[in-house]
Formats: sequence, C-alpha cells, structure tokens
Amino acid sequence: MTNKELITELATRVQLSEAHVKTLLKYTAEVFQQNLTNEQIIGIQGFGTFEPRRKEECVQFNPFTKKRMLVPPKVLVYFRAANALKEKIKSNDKS
Amino acid sequence: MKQSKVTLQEFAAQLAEKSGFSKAVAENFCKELFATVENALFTGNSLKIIGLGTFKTQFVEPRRIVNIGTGEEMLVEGHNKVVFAPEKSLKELVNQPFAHLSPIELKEDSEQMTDTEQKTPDELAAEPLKALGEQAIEIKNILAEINGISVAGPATEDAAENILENNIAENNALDTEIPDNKNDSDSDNDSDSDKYINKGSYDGQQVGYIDRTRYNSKTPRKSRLWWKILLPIVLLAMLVGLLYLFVPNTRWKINNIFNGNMVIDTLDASVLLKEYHIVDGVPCDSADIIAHGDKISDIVKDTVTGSEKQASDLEQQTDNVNEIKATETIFAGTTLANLARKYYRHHDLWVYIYQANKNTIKNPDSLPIGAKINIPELDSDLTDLKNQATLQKARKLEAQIRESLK
Repeated sequence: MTNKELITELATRVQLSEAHVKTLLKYTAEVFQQNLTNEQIIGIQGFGTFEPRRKEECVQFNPFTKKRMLVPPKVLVYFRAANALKEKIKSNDKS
Repeated sequence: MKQSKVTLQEFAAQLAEKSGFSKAVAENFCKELFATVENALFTGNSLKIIGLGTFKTQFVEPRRIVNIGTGEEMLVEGHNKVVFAPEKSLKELVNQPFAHLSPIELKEDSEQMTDTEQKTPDELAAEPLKALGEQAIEIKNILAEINGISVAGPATEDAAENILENNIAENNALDTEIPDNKNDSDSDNDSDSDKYINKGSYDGQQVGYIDRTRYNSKTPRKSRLWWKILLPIVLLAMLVGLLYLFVPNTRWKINNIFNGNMVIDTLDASVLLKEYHIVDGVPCDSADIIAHGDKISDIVKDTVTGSEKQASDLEQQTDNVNEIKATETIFAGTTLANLARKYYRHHDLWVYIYQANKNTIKNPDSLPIGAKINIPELDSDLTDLKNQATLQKARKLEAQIRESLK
C-alpha cells in the first residue's frame, strides 16, 4: 500500500479532505518523533507499543578484522504488537 | 530515563494541539489510521507511514520446542508476526544526542581494561615507558647487589663455612645453598662464628637468590640460540624426508644409485683380485700371468653377464605379454583393480597390468597421475575366469609382488 492509497482510504474513513488527511498524517509522524526522542513510550490500545530503548556503549570485537571497537550508546525504536493484533494476524495465516 | 507511557488519548491531544484540529477529530483520525494499518497487515500488505516507518508481516517457520520441565515435545505452528522497521530519518532523529559519536578502535594492549575504566591515549602511550622504567630499576637493583657481594664476598662466605663447621643441624636451610659458594672461599680469617651467624645466614640466602636470578636471566637466551641452530637442521631433515617419501621418482633414483654402486663394488673387487693375482704371480711365467689374467677376466665377464642375465630374465618376464590391448592414461582415482575389471573382467588380474608396466608404476597402490599404461593382451588361460587356477595364480603373483616391494 502506497502513501497515496493510505491517504485516500483514510479520507473516506474519517470523512475529511485528502489535503487535511495529508497534513494530519504529517503531524502524527511529528508527534511520534517528538515523543520518541523524549524517550517516551507510546502505547496504542489494541495495536501495540512503540518503545525507544537505549543501548549503553559497549566494546565489540570483530572476529574478521580482529579489532576491538568501542561502540557509542544509541537509541533504538522497538515495536511490540498488542496481543489483539498478534492474534488477528496469526489467525489470518490459518484461514 | 522517563518511561511514562503516552496513551492514545494523550497522543491525540498532542496531535490536536499541533495540527489545530479538534481533539475529537484527532482521536478519530488516529484510531482510523491504526485500523487501516491493521487492515493492510491483515491482507498481507506492507504499509509505510512517511516519517515513521514500515509495518509488515513476517512468516515465522514452524518449529519444535521441548518443555524442559516435562520433557514434552511440542510443535509451534508457523504464523505471521508484525514487524516494524523504523525509517532512517526516525532512527537518526532518536539518536541525535549521540550522533556525533562514532565507533572507536581500541588498541591491542588495552585488552584487559573494561569500558568503564578507559585511559586517554597519552596514558596508553606512557604505559610501555613506565614498564621499561620499572625494569630498569629492577636491573639496577640486581647489579648493585652483585657488586656488593663481590666486595663483601670472602668474609661472608667464610662465615658461612664456620657455621657449617659449628652447627650444621641448626642451619639446615642454609646447607643447601652454601656448598655452591664454599669452593671459592680462600681467606683464612678465624673470626668468631657467633658474630656472623645472622649476617652469614642472611648473605648466604642473598647469594643463593642472586644466583638463581642470574640463571633465570641466562637460560632463555641460551635456549634461543640453540633454537636458532637446531631449527634449520630439523627443517632440512624434514624436507629431505618428505622429498624421499612423497616424490616417487627420487626414491626410485636413490634405489637405483644404490644398486649401481653395488655393481661397481663387485667390479672393483674383481679388479683388486686381478691385481692381487698379478702381484702374487710375479715369480711365475709370463704365460701363467696371462692365463691368470684371462681367468680373472673370465670371472669378471661372468659376473657381468650374470647380472645382465638376471636383468634379461626380468625383461622376459615382463615381455612375455608383448601384444598391447590398449593404452590408458591414469587420472586421480584410477586403480589397477579398476582397469583389470574393465579389461579382464576381474579385479584380481591387475597383477598382469602391473607387470607389463613395471617401469612406469613403482607402487601399485599409488599410481603416477598422468602416466600412460599399456594394457597387455593376455593368454586365454590367464584370463579364464571359469578356471579357479587363474585367480589363484594371479593371487600368488600378487603375493610375490608384495614381497618384492617390501
């Protein structure tokens, strides 16, 4: 599904103009980014949680180059699907 | 780290604030958005929200699991799961506080240190120097001790001797170290033994200690030197051995050389014999000498012809199957048994092929790859498989060949 298709479908669902939907979508992404950069978990009922997890710095050894690297800390965004969504997707596979 | 959870309602409120729409609209929009994502996933499509990332489904292969508690085996059925891959821009945005950092390569000699106690490059550079400085100080100490002993040597050693004479039982520990130094003592100063007991025991131990350190510092160098000498010799020996083992031609050549030498030796012996006879026959007539000489030459001739005869016999043995049926080139994996099976319909008859190609095949178990082999045409009675005797004959021959190869 492309972005355009998503916008048109959303427009029919929410009954707003496509332009409005487009701006709304843009803002949603912004709000997401804002929350995640503040290291806040976003939990959406019945869908899942977006969780930024901080990885501490660590020393990694590359067995090929035989070099030890000090890897700086970083934040990764994890998505954990809610049980409802999991079950739906699972059952989808069976049918 | 703040780990408060932002719910959908809060999220919608933030969105409404940002976009200027009413809260109700924003909330509805969010719900619908996730509903569509869900829908897309349900139909098996992947969906990308710009600025956020991609949602897609991934199939998990069915797999067996074993319940550790009960030992029960269960099969987890294959199913789909939701996967979210954040967009690159989102990743970068989230990582902004650490964006200026990049992986640093650590040096080899800092292996033991953990990442909590890292050292600056200056400290790292200073470390080897420090170590060198410590070593230098140690060496200085040892040298100083050695010098001190050479000065105070005779007196202390004499004291040690005195102790040996007076109270051996008391200083058992000392006994082991003193005899080494006893030989050098040449001064005959009869000082009071009690006065020196303490000093002597102390110095004796010191001497022992220093001797040990000296020994320790010398041995590795010596052994290294030995290694330097031994290593090339050992390597050379190994090389020669390998050559002899793995290059079949050289082995053959070496054997040939030995055989050739033997022949020459016999000839030499006969020549010597001849000379001896001549010397012996000095008082005899010249004719006699000539007769002797003739005899000896006859003997020599006989020996030569004898060896020739043997060689010709061998040739005859191999040449009694003159007609060549076919020629085969040897590849890796070719065996005489296989060829025998191909041409004579029995693998035990390989001996005849071997006999016909003795010059090219040195060892019937490892054929020279790339060499050409003649397959001889055999008499019908040699290849008659219905007759038990043919195979027995072949086996006998094989035993002979094995014997000769030994």
